[in-house]
Amino acid sequence: MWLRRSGAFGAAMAIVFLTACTGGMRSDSAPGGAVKADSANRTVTARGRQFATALSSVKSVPVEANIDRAAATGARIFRIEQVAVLDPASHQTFDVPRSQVKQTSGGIVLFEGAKQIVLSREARIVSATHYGYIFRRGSQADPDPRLHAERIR
Amino acid sequence: MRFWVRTLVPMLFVVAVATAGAGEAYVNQPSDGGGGDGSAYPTAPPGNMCYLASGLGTSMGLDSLGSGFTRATLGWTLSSGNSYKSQVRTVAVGGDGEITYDSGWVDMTPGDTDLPGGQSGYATQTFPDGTDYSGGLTITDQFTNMEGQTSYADGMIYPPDPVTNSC
Repeated sequence: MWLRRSGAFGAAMAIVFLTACTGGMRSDSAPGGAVKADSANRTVTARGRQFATALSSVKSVPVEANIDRAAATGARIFRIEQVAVLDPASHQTFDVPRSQVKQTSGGIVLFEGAKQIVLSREARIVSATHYGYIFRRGSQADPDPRLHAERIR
Repeated sequence: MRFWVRTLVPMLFVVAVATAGAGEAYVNQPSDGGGGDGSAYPTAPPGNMCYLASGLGTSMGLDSLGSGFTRATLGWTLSSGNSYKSQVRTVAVGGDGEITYDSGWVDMTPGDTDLPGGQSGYATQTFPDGTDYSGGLTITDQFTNMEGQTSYADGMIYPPDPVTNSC
């Protein structure tokens, strides 16, 4: 009687249905525990467009130009050794610090520890050592010494 | 008849309200500090961030490795009928609008290696914990097919509106 009068039955049924649907969409995850956004996270809002434009202007110039410009405005610039790894079996590419790559008898293990990724036997390092660049300004802390980042400017 | 009216009308009302809310939520809902698999997003000022994948990109994720590094992971799907060379670049910008990390373009398929079309995969890049990306972070995978045509998968993270918390 109460259910019929209040309409709560219909509302409850709808909530149960919607909860079941949306819960399923959000439970997907990518390899290695990285959180995978659902495919609906693709709508570009006006705010998103603003950030995309700003980021694309930074990305439109070579890294060397970004280094020169930052150094000219007083930034401290560090570099960290990176290697590129390709796993053709799972179609995954990685650009990671050399310290995060372990070569074992079974193949390559990345990010050893709780979030490690064990790659297939076909996986291999595909680049010579190259660098990622870290920019710090003013009171921003320098990179943790454990990361072995080298200051270049 | 009255039963159906009293049952279906509220049901449709709730569905309509929830669908409208979900529509907004799907527009790059700020992360709630944790993903469906229980892993936590790193918190960078101002806290929750918006996630967006575009172009050939299908997903964008970020998590701290606990070893001094954070990784950004971009999911992508390539068109079939070709094979592709891949170059990846990650750039982060701080709250002051200045660059805080730049990987430069990294060649992932040197020599005669390539990625087959029609497949889905992931590109992962890392940067040090503590990097300020409150002005936005982007990871781009540039794919070039054997005819020299280029296409892109993009993933972006950016802060929500500080007042409305919307993306």
